[in-house]
Amino acid sequence: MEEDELQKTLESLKRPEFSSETHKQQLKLTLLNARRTAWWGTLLIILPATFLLAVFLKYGLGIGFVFDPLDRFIFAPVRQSRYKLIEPLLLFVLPLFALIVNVIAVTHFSVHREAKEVEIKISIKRRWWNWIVIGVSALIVSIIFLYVVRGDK
Amino acid sequence: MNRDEEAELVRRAKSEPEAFGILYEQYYGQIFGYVCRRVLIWEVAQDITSEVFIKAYQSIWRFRWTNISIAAWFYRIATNEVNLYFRQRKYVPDSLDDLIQRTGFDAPDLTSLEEEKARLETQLQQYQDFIAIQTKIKDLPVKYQEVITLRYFEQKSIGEISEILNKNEGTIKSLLSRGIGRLKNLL
Repeated sequence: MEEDELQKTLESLKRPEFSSETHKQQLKLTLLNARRTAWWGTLLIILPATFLLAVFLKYGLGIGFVFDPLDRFIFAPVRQSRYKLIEPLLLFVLPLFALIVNVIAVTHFSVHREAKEVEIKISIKRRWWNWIVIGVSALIVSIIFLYVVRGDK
Repeated sequence: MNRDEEAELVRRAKSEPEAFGILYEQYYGQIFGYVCRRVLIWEVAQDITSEVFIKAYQSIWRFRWTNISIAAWFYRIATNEVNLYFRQRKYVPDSLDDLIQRTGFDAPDLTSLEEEKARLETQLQQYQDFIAIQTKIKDLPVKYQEVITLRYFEQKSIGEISEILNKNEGTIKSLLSRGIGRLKNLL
């Protein structure tokens, strides 16, 4: 077959038209309602992370422009109010929650049973943003925990 | 939809899921058809099409409008996914797997899906010539497959193919010419 003839054949070839309405609607429904867990995890650690950074700047480097306003406007009023539990909640529980949420997001555990065997599969995803949130929240949780355990030493 | 209307819709789609939904409704058929005609396997076509729109939805925020239809972008993602499928022994739709685990995406109406699959397979029986040629096209290197299928099966112009594949028109013409030459030797 010559190339011109082949081109004419291709141009006149009857091509099938496909559709999959069920798949189309199901995918649309799921896609547009999906949430992004990493963003929630990030929000949950912003305040404690900022606080730790401020503490480091203040007591490590003597720079108080971040710590002083935070303490004056947020933490001091909370400590002096009857809502004393809010401070540990913000500093410890929220990063712990962020840690758990993001670990769940990057791990998948499945069990598949066949006639004579059970296959257990654990998969870990390379979603770098989730891993950054996991790293930072684990660090915050560790630091707060060690601080509480050591007390004022 | 004219270009200005589409530009406005694309701008809104960056922050409004409903606007992305309109684009999805507009282009799902074209993309699914394109993918199906390239891979000829219903389940794979569904996975790839899902992957295309999930990736598009996740990255629409950084899409830059340059007065080229967003269809070209969808086709580009689809072409890359189809090429990935042909290159790998086992195609893994990562984004689709993520979506399934996060939201429990599942086809509740398996009967409908099975009916659609049966309809497609019956339909394919009437296009034996198409299948015969497409099977040979699949033996060509991917760079020739892309241009031939976009030109003759998707009826895209050289300019449109150039936008989709992000190559200049001269390159597209050259690839087409060489691709046709190699296909002729296979037939």
